[in-house]
Amino acid sequence: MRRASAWTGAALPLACLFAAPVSAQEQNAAADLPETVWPASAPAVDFGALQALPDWRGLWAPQPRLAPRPESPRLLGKYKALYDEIQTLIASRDPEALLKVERRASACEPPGMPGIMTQPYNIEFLFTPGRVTMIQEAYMQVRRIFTDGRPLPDDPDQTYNGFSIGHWEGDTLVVTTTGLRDGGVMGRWGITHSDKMTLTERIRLDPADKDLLVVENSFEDPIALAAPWHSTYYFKRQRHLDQLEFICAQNDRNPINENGDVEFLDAAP
Amino acid sequence: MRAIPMIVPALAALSGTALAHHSFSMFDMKKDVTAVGVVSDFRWTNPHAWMHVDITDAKGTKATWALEMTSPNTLVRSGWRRSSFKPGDKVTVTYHPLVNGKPGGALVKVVLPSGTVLENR
Repeated sequence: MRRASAWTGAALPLACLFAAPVSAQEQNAAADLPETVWPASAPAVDFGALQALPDWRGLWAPQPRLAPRPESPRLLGKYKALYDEIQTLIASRDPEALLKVERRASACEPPGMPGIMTQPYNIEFLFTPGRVTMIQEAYMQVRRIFTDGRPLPDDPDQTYNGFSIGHWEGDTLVVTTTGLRDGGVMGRWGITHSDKMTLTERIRLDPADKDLLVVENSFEDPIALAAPWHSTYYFKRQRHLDQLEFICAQNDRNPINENGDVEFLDAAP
Repeated sequence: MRAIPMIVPALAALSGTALAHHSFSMFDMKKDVTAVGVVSDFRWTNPHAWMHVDITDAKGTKATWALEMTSPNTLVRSGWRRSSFKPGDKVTVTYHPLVNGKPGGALVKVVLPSGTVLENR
């Protein structure tokens, strides 16, 4: 047993008494778990290497008005159909348009990458050896960006924030993210991606303004996009604030009903 | 929310600031209503702070209005505190009412008896 436990010791004699004979081919799936220790968690650590990294301390407040309007995406298949449908709804001034783009199971459901970067709350970065951690104040979401040389997983689960690896090119953090959920939103008004999307972010301080953080996104998706699509986010540094707790389930009085409409509960739970 | 008269301003407002929790399409964002009332409840909670205000209209009918704010995280950076007011306080509130006509809305600002203005932003 790779992972011995008190339970094992107590239960083994009983199992021998009552269990049916076990086939020789059977093997506990846990025996195949990877045991690789990547540098971010390795016993040997060089904290001094952090000294060479740029200063990204403080909170970073999103500046959507600074961002240039992205080009129109060249979407394919069902992703184009959804985009066209929503654009048509918006053009027709149909009130359903707004509901369509925000239809979720719960208003507390986080947007996932890259939406985590565009919520109207600040983000902060923590540097530790072999890893950059980003925390979004809204719903206290966390992104883990491994900079210790590990590869992207071959067969990742599809998750809200995906799996991210990064490396430094000078003072620019280059991050590659895969393993995102099909239908996730990569831009406003119905711009969605498949689970085969790869996002590359180039994150750096503006050379002319060390309190301005620039995130340049490049989206590549062999299923949803005929050509790469790009967007840019800006953030301004706030050194005088700290992040505050944000538990979305504390008092969510805006449930989403079976029609996808956001409700407004007039009484406290 | 089937009858939303002001979808275009709502969309325009949204394009500037991404949403965290939900859109404002349930509120008539073009209409500001100002009323004097008495605070009956104040919840300093996420994802939204809430206040209930007992308001008597011109016909003498009293109703409790549920007014939604943004989060304490944002409000505290606009000068709010969990102790900014308490049940029983007389306040002047301005809000965008619900489009469905129910007694609720999105708060714009509160004016305290001292003259202090707390804006919901």
